[in-house]
Amino acid sequence: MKIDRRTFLRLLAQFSAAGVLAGFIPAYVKPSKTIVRPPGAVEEDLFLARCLRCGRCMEVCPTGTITLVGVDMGLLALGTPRVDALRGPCESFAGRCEGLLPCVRSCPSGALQWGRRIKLGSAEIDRSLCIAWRRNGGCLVCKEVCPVPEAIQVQEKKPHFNPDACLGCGRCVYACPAEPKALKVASTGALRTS
Amino acid sequence: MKRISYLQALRFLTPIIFLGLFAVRLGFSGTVCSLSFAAVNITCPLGFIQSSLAARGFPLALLVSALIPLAAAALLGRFFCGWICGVGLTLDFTRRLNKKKRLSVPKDLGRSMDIHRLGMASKLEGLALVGLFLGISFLLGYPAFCLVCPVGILYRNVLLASTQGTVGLDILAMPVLVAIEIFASKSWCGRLCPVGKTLSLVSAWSLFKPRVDASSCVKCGVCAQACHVNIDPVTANTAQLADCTKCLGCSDACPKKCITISP
Repeated sequence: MKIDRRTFLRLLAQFSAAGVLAGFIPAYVKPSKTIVRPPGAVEEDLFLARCLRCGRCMEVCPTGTITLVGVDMGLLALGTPRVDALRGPCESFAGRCEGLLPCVRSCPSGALQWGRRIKLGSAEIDRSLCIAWRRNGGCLVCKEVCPVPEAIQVQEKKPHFNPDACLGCGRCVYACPAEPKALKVASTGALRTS
Repeated sequence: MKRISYLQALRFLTPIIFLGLFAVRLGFSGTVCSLSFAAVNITCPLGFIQSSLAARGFPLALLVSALIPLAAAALLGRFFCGWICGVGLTLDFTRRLNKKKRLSVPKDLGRSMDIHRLGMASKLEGLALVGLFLGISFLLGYPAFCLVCPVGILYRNVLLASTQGTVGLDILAMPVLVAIEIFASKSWCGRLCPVGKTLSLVSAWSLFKPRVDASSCVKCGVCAQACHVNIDPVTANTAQLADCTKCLGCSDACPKKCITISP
């Protein structure tokens, strides 16, 4: 097989272009480490390596909380699943999915695996937006929907969040009546399977 | 315009039916990247190899699910590309519309993109591209081609649209690919697509290939012009025929009707 100079240069140019496009751009557009992953997600680097971006976990999620990362969060994470509590809570604890975890079962690649304990992250409160904190009481919807007794403690009619006890299921975020929401789930303290 | 055969019409319908099945999630669950059909998992072989290289390991079940499409390709060739893939369908339509409308291509660009002038480059670049993406996957630790795979992007967005009513910005890869197809006809499916090339790798001895009846062939070259993946059925060897997507383009185009797609 003979390759002349024109062919060689052409291939070289094409591969440099493809290499830059597929290899280096995503490497530099790394996703922020704050993506909240579905239950049972392995460590982030391994997760990005294993995940096939097939969307099956999103498809089987009964609450619709799993959605796919768009280009805005970095090309490397494009198409990988994230948990968006604004769409619904994750019911992997004390809910429809407890002990079933359809997302983990649907995952073909091992990016989501059965773990001993689930913690997606923890809820964070913005007190300047919270109705109870602004009006000195009146709203405790987050406490009412929270499945973990110690995660939200009420002192003087105001909710205090305990990030260590919180599982990051997002029920409080989903239910929060403040506009805009005073709560969000961050990946802080998330337990990853290995 | 020439009438298209019933089988050719069916070939345009099947990808639409599959897209519809994925959209309504009837019988299928997932996307072509990984789907489950009647409790059997099927995974894109290229995605499997990349993911395994990136993660330096794989679950056994994933290997089995990736062997199914490879076995199908070894038996039937790249029928996925010609009969199922929605990207292939889109580009097919693009070519057909473009043939009628003749969008003007700048002369220089047209020349530099002409498949027959590229020679060896066009034969090698597809395979080399597969190697490149596998290398990046291994070195940098993520399935490199999956990030930009038009096939995955299309089906993922179909799923996104059907489950959540939105699509991602990455769907813009489709119009880009259509634009490329207009300016450089037959450049994606036959030359570049790494998914197709992966299937080609196991398709060399598959059943169903274009067979030319040499006694009635007049070597007019119409079949080579019609082929979507740049095969000349009259002269092609086994390795070149591995790219055949069973699209029936050559047998429909042949003025002497001397090409049959048969075992």
